[in-house]
Order: sequence, then C-alpha cells, then structure tokens
Amino acid sequence: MLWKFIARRFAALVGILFVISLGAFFLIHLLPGDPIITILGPSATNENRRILMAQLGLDQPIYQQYLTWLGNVLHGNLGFSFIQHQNVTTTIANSFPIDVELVVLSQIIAFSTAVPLAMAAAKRPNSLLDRLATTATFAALALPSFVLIVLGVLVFAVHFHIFPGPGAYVPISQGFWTNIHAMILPSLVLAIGSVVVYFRLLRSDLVATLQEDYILMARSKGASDRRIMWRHAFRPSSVALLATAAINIGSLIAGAFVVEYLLQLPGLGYSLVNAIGQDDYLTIQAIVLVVAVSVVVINFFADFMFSIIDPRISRD
Amino acid sequence: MAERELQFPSPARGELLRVEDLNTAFETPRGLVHAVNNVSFSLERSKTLGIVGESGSGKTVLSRSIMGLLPSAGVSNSGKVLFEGKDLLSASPSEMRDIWGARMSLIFQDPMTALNPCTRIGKQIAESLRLHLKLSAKEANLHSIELLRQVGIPSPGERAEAYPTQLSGGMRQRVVIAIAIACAPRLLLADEPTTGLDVTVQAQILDLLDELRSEREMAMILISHDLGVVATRTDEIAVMYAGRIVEKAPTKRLFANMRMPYTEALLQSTPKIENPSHTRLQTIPGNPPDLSKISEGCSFAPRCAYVTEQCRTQTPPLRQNGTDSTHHFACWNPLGTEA
Amino acid sequence: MTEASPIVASSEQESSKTMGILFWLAVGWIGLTVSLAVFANLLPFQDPNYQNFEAINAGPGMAHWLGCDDLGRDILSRIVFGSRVSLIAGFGAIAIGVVVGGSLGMIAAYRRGLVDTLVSAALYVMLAFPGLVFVIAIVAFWGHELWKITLVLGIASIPILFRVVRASTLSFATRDFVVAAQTIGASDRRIIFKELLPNVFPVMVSFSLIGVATVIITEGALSFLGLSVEAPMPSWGNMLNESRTYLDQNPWLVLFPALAMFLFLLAINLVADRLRQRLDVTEGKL
Repeated sequence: MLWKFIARRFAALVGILFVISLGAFFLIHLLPGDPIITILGPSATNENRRILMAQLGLDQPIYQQYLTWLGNVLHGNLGFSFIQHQNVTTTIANSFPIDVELVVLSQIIAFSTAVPLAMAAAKRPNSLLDRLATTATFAALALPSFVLIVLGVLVFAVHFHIFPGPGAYVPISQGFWTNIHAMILPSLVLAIGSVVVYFRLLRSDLVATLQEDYILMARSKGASDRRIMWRHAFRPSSVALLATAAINIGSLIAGAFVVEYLLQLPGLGYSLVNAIGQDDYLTIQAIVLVVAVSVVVINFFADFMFSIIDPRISRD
Repeated sequence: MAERELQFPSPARGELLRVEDLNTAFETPRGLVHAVNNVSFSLERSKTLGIVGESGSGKTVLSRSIMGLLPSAGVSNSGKVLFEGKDLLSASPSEMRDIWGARMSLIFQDPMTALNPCTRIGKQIAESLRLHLKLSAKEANLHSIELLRQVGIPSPGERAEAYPTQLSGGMRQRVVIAIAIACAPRLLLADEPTTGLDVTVQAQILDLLDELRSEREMAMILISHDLGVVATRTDEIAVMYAGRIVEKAPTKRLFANMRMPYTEALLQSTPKIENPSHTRLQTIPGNPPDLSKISEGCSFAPRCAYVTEQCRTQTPPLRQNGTDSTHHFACWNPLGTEA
Repeated sequence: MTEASPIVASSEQESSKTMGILFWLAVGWIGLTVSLAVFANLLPFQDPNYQNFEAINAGPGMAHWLGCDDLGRDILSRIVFGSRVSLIAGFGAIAIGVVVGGSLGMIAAYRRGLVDTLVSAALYVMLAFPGLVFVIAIVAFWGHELWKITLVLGIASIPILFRVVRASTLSFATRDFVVAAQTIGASDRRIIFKELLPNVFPVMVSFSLIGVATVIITEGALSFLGLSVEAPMPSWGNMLNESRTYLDQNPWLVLFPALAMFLFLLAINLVADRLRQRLDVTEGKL
C-alpha cells in the first residue's frame, strides 16, 4: 500500500517537473523578435550564431527543439552564455553554495530563536512574554525582507558599523570569520521571516497539546516542566515544524534574492539580477529552471513528510 | 460561615493524609467559582475512601487540589493538605515533583486521552521508574514488562512495544494503573477510573485496583458519581455536593443509616438489577447549583424533598450523628427525624 | 479538563475589545492610502518628478514634509504616487485571482468528479512554484509594464485562491440546505450563486486581503530589484532601491518609504486577521 502511495506521489513530481521544463523552455519564445538576435545581442557573429543554433536546435521543429534542449539540460549542459563567456552551469555552480550557506545559517538562527520562544510563550499563554512575542511576530509580517535588509544595512552597517555593507563577501576558503561576518546580517534578515512562521505554528500547537490529559498525567508522574515540554509537548509538532521549514523554502529564496542584491553576495539571486541587467537570457532561463526545480523537489519532500506523519491526510 | 462543631481527633497512628479546611476557587469571566468548600477528612494507611457526587460537585477539583496539580494562574487555595506530615499546599514545585508518582499517584478518568499517543506504552511506564527510582533503561524496561503483567495485560513483553492507539479502553486503563503504581506510592487517587469503560470491563478494573491496593498496602481515594462503584470497595465514604462534604461515614454504617437526603436521592437514582423491568429510572429533580454564586442556606435545598425554611436560610454545619464519632452529616432535617 | 478553559477564555475576550479600536484605525489607514492614491492629482501634492536642485537630499521641513531625495524630488508626493503601483498590483492581481480562481474553486468543489480532479491537479502544479521566481522569469522575458506584472501576479495567485474557495465550498456543498435546493430542482447555477456564494464569501474576503498583502510584497521585491515599473515612475520598492546609494547621506530616503510600506501592510494584516476571527467564529457556530 505504501509503495503505491509513494509511486503515485513520485509520478506527480515527475509531472510537475515536466511542466516546469516546458515552461522554462518556452520562456525563450516569449522574447520579441528573433530569439537569436535577442540572445546574442552585440556578439552576433556568424560563428556564435551557429553555436547557438546547435545549442537550441532552432532550425528544428518545436517539439524537437524541446527534446534537444531537455537532453542537454539532463546532461548538465545548461548552455553557454555569450555575455559572460562561460558555461551557464559554471555560473550556477559557483553561485549555488552561497545560497546554501545563507539558508543554513538563517535556519539555524531561526530555529534557535523560534523554538525556545514558542515554548516560553505556550507555557504561559497571554502572559506579557506571550503577548509581546505574538505582537512582534505579527508586526514582522509587515516587514518584507527587502525592507528589513535596507534598514538593517542602514542601522548596523552605516550607523553602528557592526556589520559590513555591500561587497564584503569573501568565500569561506579565503577567510572563515570574514565570511561569517559578512553573512550574519543577511542571515538574520532571512531568519526573521522564518521565525514568524515557526513561532506561530509551534506556539498554537503547543498551547493545544499542553491542554491534553496526557500532559497532566506526565506532570502527575513527577516529570519536570522542561522534560514535559521537550519530550511530551514538542514531539508531536517537531515533524510538522521540519516540514513547514521545507515549504518555507520558497519564500526563503525570494528573500535571498533581495539580500544578495543589496549586499552583492554572489549567489543565484545576484547572478540572476545581473543576467537580467545584461540581457543574458540563457543564464536567466537556466537559473529560473534550477531554482524552480529545487523548490519543487524540496516542497515535494515536505508534502510527503506531512502525509506520512498525519495518517488522516488521504493517501488517494 | 456557620460554626463547625466538628473536632478531628489528634493524628492517629497510621494516618497518611489529612485534609483540613480545603478551599479551592477559580477566577472565571463569570466570577469566582468556588469548586471546593471547607473540605476536611483524614485517611489512614491502607484504607480506601470513596468520594461520591454528581458531576459538578467538585470531586475532580478536589482530587487535583489534593495532588496539587491545578494550574497556578487564576486559582486560589486555602487550608492544609498534610501528606505524611508535610503540607502539600505550601510545598515547593521540586518537592511536589518528588512526591508525584513516587509517593502519591493519580489515575485519570479517560484512558483514551491520558496516554501520550506518540510514545510506546513500555516507555511511558519506564519514564516514571527512571525519574524516581533512577533505574537504567534496561532495568526500567524489564520492570515495565513486569508491571504490565501485574495489571493483567497478556503478552506483556510484546505489548510494551505497542502504542496506546493499538489498545482497547480497558487495556489502556490498566496501563494507566501500571504507571500509577510503578514506584509503589503510598496513596492512589483514582478519579472515576471506570467511567469511560464498558460495563463488563469496569468490574475487572475495580477488582484489579482492589488487589493491587491490598498487595501493596496502599491507601486509595476512589472517586465516582456511582454509589454502586464505591459501595463494596471502600472503608469509608464521603458524599460531596456543591463542593462540600455533606455526609461522611464508614461504608456499612452509611448504607445502614444514611442521614442526608441527598445521599438517599443518590442511592435511589442508581438503577438496581433486582428492580422489576420497566421500573422508572429515578433522577434527582433540578440541576446542580452554580458554583460562582455562594448562596445562603443548604446548597441542596432547591432540590430536596424534605426541605424546610431553615434549610433555605442557614447553611447546615457538618455534625456528628449522635454519639457516633465516625459518622458526620450536614443537614437540618436529616432522614429519620420526625418532620 | 475544565480548569484551563475559563482562564484562557477570559483573556481572549479582553483582547477582542482592544482589537476593535485597532481594527478601525487600520481600516481608516487603508481608506486614507487608497483615497490619496486615487485623488493624488487633484490634491495639492508636489509633482513627484519635479527635480528641485536646491533641495537635494533635504531633510524633512516645512517645504517638503518628508524631505527630498537625491534628485530633489519631494518624498511625500513620491510615496503617495508610488502607492498607486502597489495598490494597482495588489488589488488588481487579487481581483483576477478571486474571479478566476474563486469561480474555478466553486465549480470544481460543487461538480467534483473529473472536472475537480483535472483542475485541482493542474493548479497544484502551479502551487508548488515559488511566486517571485515565476514573476521574475516572465517579466524578464516579456517586459515590465505594470499591467503585465499585475496580470502575471494575478495568474500566480489563482492556485491559492482556488484552493481556499474549493475547500470552503466543499464544506458547504455537502450540507443539508444545498441538498434541499437540489431536490426542489434548482439549477446548478442558482445553487452556486444563491446558496454557496454567500457562505463562501466571508472566508474569501479575509483570505483575499492577505493575498493583497502578499502581492504588494512581491511587487515591492520586484521593484526593489529594478524589475518593475521604470524610473522615473515612483513605487515603494523603487524608492528603496534608489536609496541604496545614499544610505550614509540621507536615511530619510529609506525610512519614509519603509514606514509607508510597513504601515499599509500592517493595516491590511490587522483587518484580515480581525475579519477572519469574526467570520470564522460564526462558521463554528453553524
């Protein structure tokens, strides 16, 4: 039974990825005029024309173009950017780690803030702490990442000189602490959005769980408050929290784009905006494809996790 | 408050629990709800006290107050709860945690919700053992299986790995009992331990409790709304109404010579198997009182068949039944007096 | 466990009284922002594009209440005119989402069967897609006129509104009053409009408002990245983008647009939240 369920979900995933690939493919055809001229722009030599034709298969009927392109993609060949003079795959491979670092750092900050905060708030509902935390997280919903990062740079970099401003990024290999120093502010900003989601979810879950009889039973066994909170109350929510984190990835990406843009962190978002600025359509197309696929795959696993832990979600 | 004529004898040999003037009130949007009013009693080691009353009489709040398990916000307590000489109401949280589970346990009403659905039952029993007896995981595990056997669960070794949802109501209640007795407490509070269960299973559970109690020489407070449940299994019975104890006596004496009309009404509303079929089920007319309003007079007055004017205006104190110092009741117009 | 409930309930009742004042303040602020945006041309605001070289990076003062930017343009009027972009994108996109997504949702929920399965599957695909990336992709290739952006954002909001309306309709479609209407021979159309729609509508309103806030944030991010309306046309995101270069010289360039965005989003969230509380409670009582 379980295999059937997994197989069905996997088929759905493949279907979605197929649709995404179609979408990414057709982006090129949204361009006004002759795609070759638009893509090549100033570097439209005959040589380049030929290369591009071969790459995109533009002389073939449309379905074959798609297949050619898809074939290339699945082999890891995302095309050659004439504007950056390097393989798009290289551009992406260089940018990807920065995004990974941002996501990891921000989630570490987010979890270590949201979980204890939610526990403290749920322990004494409607206390001052609870009300403050709930109000603060509500207000944070009105502060999108691009607003926060600009404010953050204004206050912490320009005014207080605690964190560096734009352009301070250095890869870890070249200086661990410099790297971390440059990454703290953007990670903090990204973390805030996540904290709001995690806190709200966890707090309401915990308040409900703490009212259950088995919590009182655990108390009557003599278990300490701390033990009750972590072992009994938090347990049922922990998987849901992780799954929520995975679903949250979409908004994390969006946030990453803007913080990279402002601070000039060479991640995918920064490369994307650059590519748009340079009319480097192949790179744009490839980055969009990679990001979309990553988000969908992660979402898929999150969805999967949810349906496994909650047997009430229908497995039809 | 009317003056009480009751005098407790000084601490007897073997006294385990003594409750003096316990009052518990809650702050609610409707006002202060007086759930427990001036409750006093004592319990000796290895004895069973039955507490009977309708829903809303305050019996659950009483059990929680004795244990000290009520939330601290919006709850006010006064009086004394002396357990093995120590006043639980003024004890610190860590002192209470040492007592809970180890010296005093609570058996919950609803076995369906009392067990954590995400944890295996063996582990839930073991938790208690490891907390208080400091057993290793392995020892606790073995001990849990032994406890499961003692509460009558077949194939205890396998069952210990099961989740609560895989067990029937009766089985779950046995697990709850196993958890409660795991560390050999001196006092067991059983709050309506059979209410959520099938009739056939109820007797089994009560028998089990009896057995365990006598084996381990535990004292027990058995709480129920059903006189039938407490009739044969208790040494003493206290009848509660509107947060007060309105009659208290050794079991046999209570049934032989009940004085408080409410006790009689309770007895009459219990269906008996010997009654001819189609006998009308007797209920006590009216509704339990609103505990947020303290009224003058006896709280049972609006529903009492023997009510007099005095009943409505003065609260009857708990007094002795003649020369019998073990039997107390609170009534102006008790059964057996001339009208 | 009755002990816990009376204590929690009383505090919730208290907080519902104070929400009343905040609610109306929020409604007022939304109304004010919208009115200013609509009537900006008729009101005595300065020309948002007029560059007063005397007042470059001027701070707040009598002549310019919120100061001027690096090109001497009045910040207050730029914020007011800039709000148009956010409002058009926000309400426009959600209007599309509600009309298309909502109709599809109600039809799919009511008809069930193949129609439901197909439409749900198709839209489920879109749901998994990250909104901002989708919009950036289209905008980069298609162009960044405001109407195009609004359309794209509208399409992006269809799946979520579809889902919400569908779920809500489902919960009503099985109820007795719908079955009753069917037995007396009412047409599907009539049932959808007269029986289901009035019940689904309250849920839709609260959710749509949250959708508006989300779209405004997405458009804001887009503007910030320089991918939305082009200079010199002001938008809140644009203004924040332009402030980057002058962070050390003119903090007002950041603070005022940020505040404008914050207050408006906060107001929308407050209204949506309060509406949801009010309307969901009635649902529960049914």
